[in-house]
Amino acid sequence: MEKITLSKMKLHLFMALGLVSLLGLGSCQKPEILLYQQNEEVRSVGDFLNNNFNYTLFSAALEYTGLLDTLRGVGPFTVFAPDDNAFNRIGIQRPSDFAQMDRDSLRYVLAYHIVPNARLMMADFPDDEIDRRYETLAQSSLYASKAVLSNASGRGYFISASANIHFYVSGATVKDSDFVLSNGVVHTLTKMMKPFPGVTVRDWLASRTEYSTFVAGLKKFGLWDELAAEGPNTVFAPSNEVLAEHGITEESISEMDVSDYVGARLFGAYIIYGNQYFIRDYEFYVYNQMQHWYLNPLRDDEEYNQIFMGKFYFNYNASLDMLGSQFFLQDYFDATIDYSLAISKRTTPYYYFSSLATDLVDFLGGGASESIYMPDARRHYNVGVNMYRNDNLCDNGLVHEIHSVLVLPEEALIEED
Amino acid sequence: MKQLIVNWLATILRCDELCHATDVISALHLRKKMVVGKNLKSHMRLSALARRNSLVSPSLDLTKAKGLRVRFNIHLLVFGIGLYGLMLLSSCQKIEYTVIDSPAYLRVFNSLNTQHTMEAKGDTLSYLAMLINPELDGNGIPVGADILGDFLDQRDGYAPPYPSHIGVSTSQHNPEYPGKENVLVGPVLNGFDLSSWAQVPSGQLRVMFVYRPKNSVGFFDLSSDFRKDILIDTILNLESQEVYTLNVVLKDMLTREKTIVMRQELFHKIPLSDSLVYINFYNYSAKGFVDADISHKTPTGSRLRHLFQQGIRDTMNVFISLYKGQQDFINERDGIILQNSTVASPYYFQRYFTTLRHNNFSESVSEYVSFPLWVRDDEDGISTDLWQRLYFLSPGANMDQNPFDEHAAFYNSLDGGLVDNANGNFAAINFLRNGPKIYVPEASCVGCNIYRYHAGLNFPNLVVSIHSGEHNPRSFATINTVEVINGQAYLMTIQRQYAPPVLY
Repeated sequence: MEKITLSKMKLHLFMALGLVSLLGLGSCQKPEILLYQQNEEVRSVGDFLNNNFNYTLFSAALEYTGLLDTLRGVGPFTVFAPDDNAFNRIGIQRPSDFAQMDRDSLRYVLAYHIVPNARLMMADFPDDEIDRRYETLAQSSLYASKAVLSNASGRGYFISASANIHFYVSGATVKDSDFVLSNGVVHTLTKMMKPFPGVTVRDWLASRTEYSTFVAGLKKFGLWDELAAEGPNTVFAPSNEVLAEHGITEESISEMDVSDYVGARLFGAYIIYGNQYFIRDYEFYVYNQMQHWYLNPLRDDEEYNQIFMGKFYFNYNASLDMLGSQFFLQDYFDATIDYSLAISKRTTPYYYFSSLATDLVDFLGGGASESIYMPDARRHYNVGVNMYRNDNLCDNGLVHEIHSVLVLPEEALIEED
Repeated sequence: MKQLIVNWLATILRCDELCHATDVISALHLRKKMVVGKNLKSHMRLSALARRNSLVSPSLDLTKAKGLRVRFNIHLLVFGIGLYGLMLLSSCQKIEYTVIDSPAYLRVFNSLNTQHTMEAKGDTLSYLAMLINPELDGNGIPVGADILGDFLDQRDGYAPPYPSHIGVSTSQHNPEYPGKENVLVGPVLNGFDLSSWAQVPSGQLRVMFVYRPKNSVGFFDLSSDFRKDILIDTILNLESQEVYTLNVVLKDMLTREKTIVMRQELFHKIPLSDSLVYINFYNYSAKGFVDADISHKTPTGSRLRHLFQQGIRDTMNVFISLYKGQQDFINERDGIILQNSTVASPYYFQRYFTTLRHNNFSESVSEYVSFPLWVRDDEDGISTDLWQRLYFLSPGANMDQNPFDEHAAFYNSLDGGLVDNANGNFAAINFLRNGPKIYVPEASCVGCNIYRYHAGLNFPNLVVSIHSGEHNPRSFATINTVEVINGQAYLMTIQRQYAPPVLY
């Protein structure tokens, strides 16, 4: 047997290594795998708004106030952007219209539409909760309410609605949501939110001459001062023309004797004390709780109640009689849908349990409509005719505009026993 | 090149240059066998082969070859042991089991069930997180806890004996604690199934309930703003191996004060027969609930479904009726129509059962009352189609001259729902089906297809009938608790252990 010499050993080692390295070359292949490449050209919120046909007016306003560059910067931002339609409805047609406005107050309002330091998708807002506050760039809070509609909630109703989630911020409806961009997310609003910083309800009314008759009435009956208190209160303010139609003017008010009238009914009917309600809060409760109307006994007046409700359709299936019916809700993106506030002796709207004409006498002012649910009225009013004049958010409450008289002076006379 | 390789192989195999290819191959083959099987024979064949071909010098003898083989075997042995050992060690995992020494058993319900109406806009949505032994940071905001009962939603109407909602759940909302949580639960204690009660350490526990937003973010992942709203922060004393049920309730309707009521259950300590069905009753309604206006209890305009929604008075007499016969057919829209129910026994028709008193501040346990599982003479002792109905009536009225109609006027002109004119003096519960409305044929018009809606709250049957061994079904008695809280009644059922089923 030949001895294995060192050189032979080296040879063997060399050969072994050579073979092994050959193996290495053979099995190693690097195929080109193409991974999904995320788009690295995602735009910032500022660029998105600037280049989008739907937000031309909003971005013009942002640029005018210098906020557009903020939105191009490092975020993240959550932006609630009213679309062009929302601006058109309040009379702003062209970007140049903003140039006539006060830059600082416009800046405040626009900053109120931006929530900094957070990228909040619609799912991040809590469900079924009303008025959760989020701090905005304007250093005040906006109120987010999200109602999640569930057919399986065991309510026993069948509800048909075009969307299952109803999302409102400070009274404005969120129409589209979750446009994700590189430094934030954009949600579309149907109208602008209207915060008035540092202004109480009293100051707001006092500074607007179109409500001067209403202001005179509040002063006369001692309801004026508490509108500057902590509140919160909700005021439905009738304009001078509306009051004048029924003979209520500043002269007639100054001639009234306070002891003859129930001030809490004559002018207090327009105020809901203790809570601030956006108009859309009604919708939230309809979707979330199936609440059909809001009932509030008038303060300091035992006989009458305030009833607030909106219009919805009801489909009663006569053949099935008592076994429940379908219930349709109309979607409210449109400003022409009616809401109404009625003053009534009853605790239910007219036509809810009976349709007797004699029940009408229990109603004073109230909205009228063809729908069977509307409290029928001798005077027509609609809070919602111009949705854009509502939801004025003051420090201690909300002011909406109402388009009719609720209580006539002769209806508020103190009855002699 | 080829020669070089052959030479190299030949050297490895202990053949010299004269090694023939086929012999090399056969030698290789034999060698392989030798490595694997320590085959002596093949080894000898190799040697024989080698000798025949004069491939190896005669000096290669068996011993040397044996030496080679031994060397190989040692390597193989060491390698084999190493591999096996590695496999053993890698499959060895130490699983840490949580063990609670001397636990107490706790079940928590969020019973803050007053409706969120527009008139009460300021109320916070009652979606809670329960923290036991929390750690707070410098600002008093919870940042950790020993035990977290998150996503605690309002209580479901029926609290099952074992957590059956785990299997059918599609959301994170938890109707009770432990509910869907993956925690240690109670064993079968004295024959009673406690798998719906969580194990918690006994002794003094700090319990904190915090309002949280209703989304799917875990409590400690929420931003600190959202963890600030603390509802209740209190100390509880739990004794080892005792069973506790805790409700978070509204104490007063006007002041909106909220509190905890915790009771120590006794059912596992008292002698309870297994052919009687037991119930006890509690009324944990808020003070002033029944007197409040309806607009504070249900959203205005939404229709009432059962008589508890108006509330019940502070003292109510409870009457029981037992029925047999559960045949029904499904109503097209939303309920069932009873077909053949008859009164089980004249003795159990609207018979006085007990009195329910309002007691949401005391932690005492109500006494259990019972009815038999086998009511008639002709029962087979295996299964029964018994179902039950309870009536709650104010003292002063009795069932014979009951001014209230249990088939209360179901307002049929609008979206349906009953008109409650009982004002809290009358209510009913059916223990037949969990949820669906129940209609009964109009008694005065037989065969007319006119049905009247029964205004009772509907719960599952107190008698559990399931397939057991050779009997399908077999009926079992249960222990139950009915809690009336504000505008709703809740049923909690506890099952007991029976002898194993007889199998064929």
